[in-house]
Amino acid sequence: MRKYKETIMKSVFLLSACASVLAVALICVFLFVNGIPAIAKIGAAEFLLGKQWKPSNDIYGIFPMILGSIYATAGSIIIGVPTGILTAVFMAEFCPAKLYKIIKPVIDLLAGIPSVVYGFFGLMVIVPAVREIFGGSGTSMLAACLVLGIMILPTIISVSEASIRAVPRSYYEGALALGATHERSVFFTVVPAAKSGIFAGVVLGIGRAIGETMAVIMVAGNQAVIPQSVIKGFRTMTANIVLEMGYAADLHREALLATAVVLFVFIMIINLSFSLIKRRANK
Amino acid sequence: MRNQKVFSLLVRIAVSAAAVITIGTSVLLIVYIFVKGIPYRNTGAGEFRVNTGAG
Repeated sequence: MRKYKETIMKSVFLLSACASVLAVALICVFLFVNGIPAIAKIGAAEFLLGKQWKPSNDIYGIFPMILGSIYATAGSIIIGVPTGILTAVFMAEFCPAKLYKIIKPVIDLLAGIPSVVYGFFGLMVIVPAVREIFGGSGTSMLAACLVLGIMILPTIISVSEASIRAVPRSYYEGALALGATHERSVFFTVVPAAKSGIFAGVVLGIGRAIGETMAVIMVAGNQAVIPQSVIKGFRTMTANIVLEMGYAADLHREALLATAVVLFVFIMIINLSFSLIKRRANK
Repeated sequence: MRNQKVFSLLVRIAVSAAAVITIGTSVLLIVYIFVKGIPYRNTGAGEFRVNTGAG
């Protein structure tokens, strides 16, 4: 009986794993089959490096959107990563137990808030603040970076805190025994030992930032032009797909699917670089 | 010795500041949503009105 149960459970696990792989494979095939012909029709260089996106004139250059996605992700990393990692260190090593009981649920709650709520907060609070301080319309790259920076905080904090807590206590105690202070022991022994987990948290945060759509649409202005400054509007690749897919047809629709292919390749590059860096760090 | 003290102080300031920013933003976001959302009620006819408390 036990042997049968084991065989059945093995099959269930195998089926689950196959279903996941099949889902990813189907998404890949769908994207590439529909997107690659459009890139071929438009011309790879014109599509990837073209500075104009005018579907009504059959001009499809997504370079402004590629730059927009890169800038927004970089901005969110600059804002979110140092704050997230330092908060994780605070929660794991410096936070009093009573305060931790309050902070932890708040961070968990932050992770569960839908992106449209972040977008609404950005639209009602951050955009007017940017408008007041810097002028212009307020819907800008700065607003988008701030919203994305806040959005990636819970991911970075949770993963980094868990990896810092997973470091054996003997590392910290060894550093203390050698005469280091609490702060030095934490920053020169515990945090470096947890760097793999912290890096995983950062990569997950980057993945969330680059793929975020709704919050960005609400605060970015969405002009399909190369961003001129941080207080000017811009459009990301995800926003481009969402804004136009509703009414797109023929080559326009295919060009949007090709944009999804480029986004997919971007995320694959990020994941591959993460794997490479992790492998090199483990050597 | 003095360098160690300065480093410790800087580290404490940095981690505390980061925590204050994170918690401050989280609380602001959560409070803002509730403060802005609770005064409105769904009339049931697809519209939202400011809740005056009069039924």
